[in-house]
Amino acid sequence: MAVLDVTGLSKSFGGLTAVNDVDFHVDEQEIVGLIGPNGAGKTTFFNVITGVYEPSEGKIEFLGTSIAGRLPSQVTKLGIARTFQNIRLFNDMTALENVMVGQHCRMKTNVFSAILRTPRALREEEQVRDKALALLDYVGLKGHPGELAMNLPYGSQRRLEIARAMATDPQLLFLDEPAAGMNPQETEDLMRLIRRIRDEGMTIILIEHDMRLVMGISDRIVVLDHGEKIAEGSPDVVRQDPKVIEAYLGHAVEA
Amino acid sequence: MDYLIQQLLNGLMLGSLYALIAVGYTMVYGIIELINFAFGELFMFGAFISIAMMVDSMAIFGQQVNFPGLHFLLAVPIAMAVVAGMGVAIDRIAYRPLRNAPRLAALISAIGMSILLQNVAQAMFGSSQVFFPDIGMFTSDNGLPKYITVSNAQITYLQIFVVAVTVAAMLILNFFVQRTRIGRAMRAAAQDKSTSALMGVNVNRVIAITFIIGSAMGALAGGMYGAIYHFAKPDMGFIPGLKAFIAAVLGGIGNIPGAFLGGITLGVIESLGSAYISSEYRDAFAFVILILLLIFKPSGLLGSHISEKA
Amino acid sequence: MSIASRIDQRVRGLGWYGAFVIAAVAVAMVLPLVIDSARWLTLLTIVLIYVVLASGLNIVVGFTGLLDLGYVAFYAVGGYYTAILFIQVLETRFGVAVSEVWWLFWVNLLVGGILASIAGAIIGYPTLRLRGDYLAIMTLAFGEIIRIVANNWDAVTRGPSGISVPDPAVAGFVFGDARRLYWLILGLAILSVFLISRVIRSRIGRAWTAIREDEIAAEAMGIHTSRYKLLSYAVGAFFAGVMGVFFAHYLNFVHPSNFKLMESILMVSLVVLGGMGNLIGPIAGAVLWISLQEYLRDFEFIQAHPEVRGIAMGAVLVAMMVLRPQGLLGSRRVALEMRPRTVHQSEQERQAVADVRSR
Repeated sequence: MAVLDVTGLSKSFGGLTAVNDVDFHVDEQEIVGLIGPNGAGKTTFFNVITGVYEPSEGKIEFLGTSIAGRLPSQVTKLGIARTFQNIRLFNDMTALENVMVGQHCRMKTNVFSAILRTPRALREEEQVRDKALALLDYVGLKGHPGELAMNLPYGSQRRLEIARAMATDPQLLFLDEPAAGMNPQETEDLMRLIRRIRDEGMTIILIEHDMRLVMGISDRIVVLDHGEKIAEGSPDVVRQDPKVIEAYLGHAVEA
Repeated sequence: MDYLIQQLLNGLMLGSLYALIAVGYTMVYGIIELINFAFGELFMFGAFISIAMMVDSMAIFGQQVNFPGLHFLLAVPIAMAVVAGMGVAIDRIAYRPLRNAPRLAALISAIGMSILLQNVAQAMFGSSQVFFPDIGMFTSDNGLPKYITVSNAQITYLQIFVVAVTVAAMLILNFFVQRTRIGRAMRAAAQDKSTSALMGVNVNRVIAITFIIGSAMGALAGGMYGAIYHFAKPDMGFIPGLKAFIAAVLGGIGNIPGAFLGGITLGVIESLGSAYISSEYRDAFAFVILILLLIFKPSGLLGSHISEKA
Repeated sequence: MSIASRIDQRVRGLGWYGAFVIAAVAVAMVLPLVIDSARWLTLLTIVLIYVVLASGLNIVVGFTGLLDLGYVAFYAVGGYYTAILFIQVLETRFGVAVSEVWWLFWVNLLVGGILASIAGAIIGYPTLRLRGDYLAIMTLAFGEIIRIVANNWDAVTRGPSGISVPDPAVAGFVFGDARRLYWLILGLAILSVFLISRVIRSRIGRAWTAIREDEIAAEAMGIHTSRYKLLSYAVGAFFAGVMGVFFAHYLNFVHPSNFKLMESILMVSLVVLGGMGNLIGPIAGAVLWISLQEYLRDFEFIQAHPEVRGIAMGAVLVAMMVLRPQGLLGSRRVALEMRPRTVHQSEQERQAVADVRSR
């Protein structure tokens, strides 16, 4: 069964159509790469699915439930998590706290149980902390739980964002340019991490400009250009698709 | 009917003053997204400095100081120039260092500036009302205001003057923003500060000019307020400042014709409201309008430039 | 494990911070036995009222990062509620002796808080879709409206003549003198700060801080940001409501002039002075500023020049923001709070905020 099934999705801002009639699906434990030149509508596509924008048209089904037009927080609660193209950590919170915030929607403590520190609230807090520590360890940030997010090096910030997203217990993970600004070694490590996450049962969609990464890791690639899907298939097929080459090289080919 | 016309005229006059102060709020918010609470206080200083320029001597910090005793028409432009300088100084001291800080910091700094100026004025001029001299031009020999009669309603020359000056100021301003190079830079900065900086716009200079214009308009309103009500007082600016901000939101924040429309609308509503509903609650009308506005049409009457972007 | 060793472990677990808090509370409790001057006890009582107000306001301003400039309105809600209920309704209307319904004071502390919470949520609601600064304007406006209404609705509030309010009491025991009132407010202050610290150090406080740090990311992490902002307004207002009830009975009077705009600004100043977004900051700010203010009140120069207070307040707000935004007691957390945002907010992101908020 498809984890995510998108049909005829369009999003326009005023007169500008950023995403135009896109069909898209992801199966369980698949890694799908979403590529396309700058301004192709990739991030907008992400944003519509994760609830940041309401779609102008089209259907979005996640595990059989329609999620079009829901708030991002509701989408997250249903099991879709994301990272951001420009890192958006909670800068003045520690790495540990960042990951703990990720578990927010899985927690039940309310104002009253927080005040009373009920055994359940205490237990929950402890479990959340343990899980957060485990996730930091998992993404390779062991030993930095007390560091403020803003003081972490760039590559670690990207990893922390992944840990924070995973803390929401997602079934589907959206990574928006996870390798941006990373050096080759860091990118290598990141590829390994993404594969490992997938192997443990997660489904992943990533936007990426680093072709080596995206071609090396994706099971399937979808190419957007001017808001439309122009190609789809295995990395090898997409790589040779003349439309894709043209989209990337643009008029240089014609000229 | 005549009473209604009279109230409409009062509203129009009051609304003109709101409109002038609203210019500062709307332009500054349009560019640096800051509610500069201090515009209300600059309006107040505009009134005080006008008085100082018009009298022969006046107590400042408890000391009698001699002043030139100029005509209103000379006094107000001087007040506008001084207050414009104050506006730039305020930006330099309290806002520019916080340009990249979270919005909360600049907002707190703004409210601090407002309180600071209000109390500095109190230290300078005392806490009670200071008499604003009659401006002479529109008073007949028997001491009563000159007026013309239109179907039984009396329109004073002063009312005509205030509205005419406001309309003229707005037209000049609109021309300036739409047609001149600096105006273009302003509009570009309002759209996107960092891109316009890349395109060679000196953003800090644009912001300074915005403060100059906004402060000068506030001072102009202050001078005319004094001419109408014959007093100035250190706390006279806070509530009109707040109402002017509401007028700016009403017209669509970031939008200069909107500030005019919003100011006039607010003035008229307030005038009619206190005439026909309750005069005790006259200050509450603006706030009720604000609440309704935020719920039903936050982009304002003419659409704010913020929402245009969105 | 023996009881002694368990206690020992507990004490060790507290650390310096805990030890300091316990010592401070102990000192505060025995203070009235040492000080025998009503003037000083009154000063301390006022300090403690502001400790609670500043701590409550800190929830909204410091932790959630939204400016509330009409906090005094919620204080007024509590004060007028209890005064109207006791005097205008029960005594005047139904002829109930105030001493017979002494227990109502205690109930009112809670009810006043809840009413203020409701008011806070109602005021905050229209601003949820908009930028945070609109909250500042809405609260400012509400603060003014409350005062205008209190001043003019004579039938209910007795307008500018104000309403006299009885002392708090338990059965026949009246909290009438300065010492008893001090102990009472000390108890309320300890309880309030304790409650606030518990909420802040939970999932809820984390959610508020996350909203302050990055609203879009907070929403994406599953925090229903509108709901949590409303919760912040409501919880913040609650403590103002409680203090309003106390204040009315403490002063034995409510009057529109108790609830002026300058009071709201003062409360913001206390939070800013001590340090936003940490628990101790507002307490320190209140202790420092209010003691100084109340102490200076008797000086001739200050009486002749009340504007000195406003000048100092304004200067503190501007100077703190420009020079030391983390406040005097800036914690590690807040020390960095005001650092420039490195993330450039693109058009798209602005749009994103607008889009999410419009739903």
